[in-house]
Amino acid sequence: MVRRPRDLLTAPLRTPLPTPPDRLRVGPLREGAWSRDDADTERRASWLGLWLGVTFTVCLLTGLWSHAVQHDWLPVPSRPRDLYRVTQGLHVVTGLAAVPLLLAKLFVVYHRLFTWPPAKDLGHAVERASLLLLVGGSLFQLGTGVMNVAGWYAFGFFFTTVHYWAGWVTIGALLVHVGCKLPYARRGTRRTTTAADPTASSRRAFLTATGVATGAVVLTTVGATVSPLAPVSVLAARDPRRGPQGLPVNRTAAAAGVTRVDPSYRLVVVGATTVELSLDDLRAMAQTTARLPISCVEGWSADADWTGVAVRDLLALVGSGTDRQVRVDSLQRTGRYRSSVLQPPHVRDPITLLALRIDGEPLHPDHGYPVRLIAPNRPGVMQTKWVGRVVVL
Amino acid sequence: MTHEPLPPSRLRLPLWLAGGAAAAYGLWGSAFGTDTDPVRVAVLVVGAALAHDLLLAPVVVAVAWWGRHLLPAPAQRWAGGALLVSGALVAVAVPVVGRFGARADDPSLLPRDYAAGPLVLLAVVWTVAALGAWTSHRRAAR
Repeated sequence: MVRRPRDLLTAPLRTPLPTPPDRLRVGPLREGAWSRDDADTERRASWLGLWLGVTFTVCLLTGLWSHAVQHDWLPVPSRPRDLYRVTQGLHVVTGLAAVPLLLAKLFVVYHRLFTWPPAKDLGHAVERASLLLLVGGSLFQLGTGVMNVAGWYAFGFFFTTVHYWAGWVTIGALLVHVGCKLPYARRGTRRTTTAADPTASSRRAFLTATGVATGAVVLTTVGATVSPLAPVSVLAARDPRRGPQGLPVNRTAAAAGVTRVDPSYRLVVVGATTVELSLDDLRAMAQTTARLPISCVEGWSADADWTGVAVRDLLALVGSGTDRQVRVDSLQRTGRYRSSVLQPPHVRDPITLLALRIDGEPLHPDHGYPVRLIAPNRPGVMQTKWVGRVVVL
Repeated sequence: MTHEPLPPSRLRLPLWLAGGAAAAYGLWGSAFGTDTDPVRVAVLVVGAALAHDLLLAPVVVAVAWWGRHLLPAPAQRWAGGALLVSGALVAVAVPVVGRFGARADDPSLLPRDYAAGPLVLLAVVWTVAALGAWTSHRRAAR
């Protein structure tokens, strides 16, 4: 018999495993304990798997994009202005949409947990073990994600890095699973016109209900970023219309420990030379007004009219061009996001502002009084508030 | 209906290699990366799977079984659908209804009345299901 290299590579996986003694086959493991139609299960699981595949893929790609933007892995353009708002909105929406899909999928295939024998061969054992990572990882990612969006950080670790690494584990387990199930998913999503299928109508009802559940979850939460839907999004943890000066806040002045700004406040700009500017000096400079969103990594976003000094005008004051990175430091003493770096595309953009006003009023302390950074296409955590120093790197 | 096993996909090995690499990278980062908490994450990942398989799923399977035995056929589907929709809404509502993340200094986080909203939602879902079941029942009776 001629064997291809691929067969040699996978040969160990076909090593048969012994069947456990029959006396262990009790409870849900008993033969006939589950009256399920295999073809019907396959069809339900295939459609739900396809929908989950779409939501997980969008969620993964937008999540990786967000991670890359926050870690300066890519040259990120400063336009379109709303790009990050859309991608992060999609990340959170697809994650939420996956909750009913995942629960329905697990319900459909639950009886397969009690397959007998537990593993026919080594490959089957590996496949089933990888399901622990897939199921546990998916529930973990969606569960902690839903908690994080609601500001509930009870899990006790820094969400961003853990979510990133667990995302790779989950998507890896998903690829292994797709590798095993692809032929069945193809067969399960094929529309057949053969003999009457007695399970078809109940399956349609179940899949429709899952679709309705997904739509309901999306509609009741997406208003955190799609403001026209805010009135119906009764489960959203944020309302883009509510907060100081009509705009939500993620870190308040009290939480950041910047409640009092001294009258002797000076913005220090360090470039080829160094200048110190008082609030009056800043107000006397050319003012730019731009409509820009705060786009939070937690999936809410809100527009406002910001007025202030363009960063590139400040750099001109200290004799620096716009081809270098610029670090923006906050007055807050501690916190992961007390400083952020602007890349040249953002430095050059005429609507990258050190804002003094929001919708015509001086900034509320929670929005970063006296001065905050606001730039197009940028995650909210990188829109540094209570700015004290601007340094050309 | 029968359900014959199918030969493996030609993409199986490439997908296994890609998936194995992605998972290995994620496990490596979870274990040795900065700002991670491998023990807690492992406990939560395995715990989430066990909590689903040993607690949530048996309860749902039991409820579905009772529904099939107690309710007339047309009502079963509507009740099942309503249960699915309510379950999904409850799952994403727990953190906001419980207000577990609320912070005294930030009223813009959890700014709504999260008691009334979900109750209205559930009332709508079950009213629609009841009307649907009643309509199907009348149609079946005719």
